[in-house]
Amino acid sequence: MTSRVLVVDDEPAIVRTVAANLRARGYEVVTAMTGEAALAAAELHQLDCVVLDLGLPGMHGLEVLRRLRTWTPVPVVILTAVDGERDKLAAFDLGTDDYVTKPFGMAELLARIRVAVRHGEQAKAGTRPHVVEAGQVRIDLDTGEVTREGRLVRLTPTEHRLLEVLAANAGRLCTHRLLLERVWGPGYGDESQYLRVYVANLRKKLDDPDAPKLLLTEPGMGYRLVTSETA
Amino acid sequence: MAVRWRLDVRRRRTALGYATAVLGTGAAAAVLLLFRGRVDQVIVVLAFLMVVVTAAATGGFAPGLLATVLGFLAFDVLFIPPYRTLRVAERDAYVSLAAYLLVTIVVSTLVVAREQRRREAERREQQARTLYALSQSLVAPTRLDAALAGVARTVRELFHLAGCGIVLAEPPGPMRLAASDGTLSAEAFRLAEAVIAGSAGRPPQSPPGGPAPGRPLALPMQAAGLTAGALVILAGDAAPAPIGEAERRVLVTFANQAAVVVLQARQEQERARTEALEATDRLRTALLNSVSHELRTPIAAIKASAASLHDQEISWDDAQRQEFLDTIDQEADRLAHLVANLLDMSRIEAGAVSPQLVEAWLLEAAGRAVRRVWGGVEHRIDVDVPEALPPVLADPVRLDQVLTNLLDNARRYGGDGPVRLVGRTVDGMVELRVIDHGPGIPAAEQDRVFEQFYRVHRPGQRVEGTGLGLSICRGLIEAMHGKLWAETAPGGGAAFVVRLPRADGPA
Repeated sequence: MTSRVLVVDDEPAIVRTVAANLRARGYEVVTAMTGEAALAAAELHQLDCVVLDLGLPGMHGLEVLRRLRTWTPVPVVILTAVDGERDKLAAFDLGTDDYVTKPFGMAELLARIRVAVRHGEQAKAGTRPHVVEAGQVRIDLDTGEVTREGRLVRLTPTEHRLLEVLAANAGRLCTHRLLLERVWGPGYGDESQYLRVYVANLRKKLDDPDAPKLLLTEPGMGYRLVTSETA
Repeated sequence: MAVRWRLDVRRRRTALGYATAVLGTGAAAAVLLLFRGRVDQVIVVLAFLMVVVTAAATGGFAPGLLATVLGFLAFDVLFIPPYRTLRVAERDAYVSLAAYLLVTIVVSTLVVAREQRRREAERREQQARTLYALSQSLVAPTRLDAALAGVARTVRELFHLAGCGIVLAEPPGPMRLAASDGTLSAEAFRLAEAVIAGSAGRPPQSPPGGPAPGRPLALPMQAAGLTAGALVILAGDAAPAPIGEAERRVLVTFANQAAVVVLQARQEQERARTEALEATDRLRTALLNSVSHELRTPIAAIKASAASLHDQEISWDDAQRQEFLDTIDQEADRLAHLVANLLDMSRIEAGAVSPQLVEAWLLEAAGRAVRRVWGGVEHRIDVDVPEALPPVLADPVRLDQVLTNLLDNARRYGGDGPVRLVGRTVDGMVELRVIDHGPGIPAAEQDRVFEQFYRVHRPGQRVEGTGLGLSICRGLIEAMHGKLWAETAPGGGAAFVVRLPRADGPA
C-alpha cells in the first residue's frame, strides 16, 4: 500500500526536494504552500503523514496543527527553522508526533516520517503493538507484564501507568504535560516534580540511572522511551 | 502657619489666664467691697469661684491656682471679720474658707482637664490638617522631584523656617539634595548625611527638643524599614520660638510619609526600567529569530538537495539531478544576498556607512535601476521628471542600490500596471517618487515596512526577499542626509518617496 504524505512549506526549494525524496522512496506526495491550502488538502486526501512547517505566511503552522487535531489523528512531523523551546513544546502539546529542525539531515527526516506513518497505521488498524522491547526490557502491553533480562520487574501502579503511556508512544517525545495528564489526570499538568520522582524510580528498575539509555530526558520538554525499533 | 499660630495662642492664653486671675480677683473684690456686710458670703465665694473658673479655662491650671490663692486671700482678708487680717473670728468662717478652697480646686481641676481635652482634640485636628496640606503637596505632582520640592516649600511655609531641604540616599550612588526651599547651610547637609548614615536599618528615633534658631535639624525619612533620605530644616532667626515637640512630631510623621512616596516612586522607576528592558529583549529575540529563520531556510534547502544527490540508494534522472543543482545554486545566491544585506544592516546600525557624496542625477540612477530590474523584459515606465531637475549629493553606488530595491519592490508587489517616476524640487531637496499600481500599503503599516524583517502579509501571496531591503534603503538614504518614506499614491498604489539634498543648494 502506498503511503500518502502532505508536505507543507512556503519555501518551494524545500517542498521540491522533500517531495522528490519521498517519491523516490515510493510515497505519494501532496504539497501545499500555505496553512489554508494544507487544511484543504488534508480534507481532500486520505493522508498517512503531514510534514508541516511552522513559519507559514498567513495561518501559522501551530494553528494548522490545532485545526487538524480537531478532526484527524493523522501523524504530523513538524519541519521548521524555529527551534525555540516554547514553539517545540506548544507543537508537542498540540499533538505533533515529531519535530525536526532546519537545516535537517534528509535521512533523519525520512526515518522520522517512516516511524510516524507506521504509528498512524497501527493506530488506524487498532493494532497497537502488544509488546514493546527496549534493550533488555520487555513490556507486554496486554498482560501488563514487565521483564528485564527475562526476570519479572515489580512496579507500583503509578510507575506502571507511566511506563505504559511511554511505551504506547515509544520513540516519540512525551511532554511533561501529556504524561502528567495521562497518568495523574487533568489538573496535574504543571506538577512536573511528580514526574521526576517516578521517572527516577523507573530508571532504577529498568535502566541505568546514571547514564539512561532507554528512558531519555528531553531537557525542559519531556521524556522519550527509546525502543529497539525506534533507536 | 497654622501650627505656629496655635503655639502663639497658647502662650497668649496663659498670660491672659494670669491677667484674669489677678485683675478678675481685684475687680471682684473691689465690687464686692462696696456691698461688704450686705451680701451673703456665699455670693462672695461664688464671685471668686467665677474668677477661678475663668482663669483656669483661659490659662490652664497655674492661673487657676493663682486665682484660687488670690481669691482665698481676698476672701479671708477683706470679707471675713476681723477684716485686714488673715485671722478669723468665727469658727463658721473656717468652714466657708475650706469650702471655698475645696470647691475652687475641684472646679478648676475639672475645667482645666476639660480644657486640655478640648485643646488636645483641637491640636490633633490641626495636625491632621497640617499633614493633609503636606500630603496634598506630595500627591498632586506626579514627578518625584516636583513632589519633593512641593514638600520642602510647604514645610518651610508651615513652620516659618529659614530653609527646608530633602536629601535622598540613592545607593549605590551618592546622597543627593532632591529638593530645597529657602536657605540651607553646609552644616545642614552634613547633619542630613549623618542622619541617613546613622539611621540606616534602625527604627525611627525621636529625641525630644528642637534646634535653636539658625541651627539645623535633620529627621530620617523612613518607610518599610528603609531610610529613603532625610528631611533637613533650618529654623529661622526671625521665628518667634524654637521648634517644639508638637512640631517635631508633625515633621517626623511627614518625613516618613515622604519616604513612602520616595520608595513608591523608586519601585515605579524600577518597574518601568524592567519593562523597557523586557521590551528590548523581546525585540532582540524576535530579530534573532528572524535572522536565524532566514539563514536556516536556504541552508536547509542546500543541504537537503546535496544530501539527495549524495544518496546512493536512489538513482535520480537527469532532470531531477538538474533541479537539485539549480536549488543549490539559487539558494546559495539567496544566502549570499542575505549575508550581504545583514552586513549592510549591521554597518548602518553601527554608523559605519560612509557614503562617498558626489554630484549625482536621480533620473540617470533611476534609468540604470530600471534596466537592472526589468532586464530585457518590456515594462511601461512613465517618467514625469523635469529636464532641469538639479543634481543631488549622493553616493552613486548606494543610490543605485536603493533605487534598484525600490523598483524591484514595484515589480514584485506593484501589479501589472506601469510604474511612474515623478521628480521635483522641494525645500532645497530633490525628490523622486516611485509609484506603482498595486494594492498599496495600508496606512498603519507605511512606517513599519521600514522595520527589519517586517513584511506586509497579503493572503495567498508568498513572501519573498529578506525583509531587510527597505530597512537598509532608509538607513542608506539617511546616511546620505536624505529621507525615505512610503505613502499611498492617488490611484491607491504604493508610493516610495526619496528626498536628497541638492548638490548646488546651500549645505
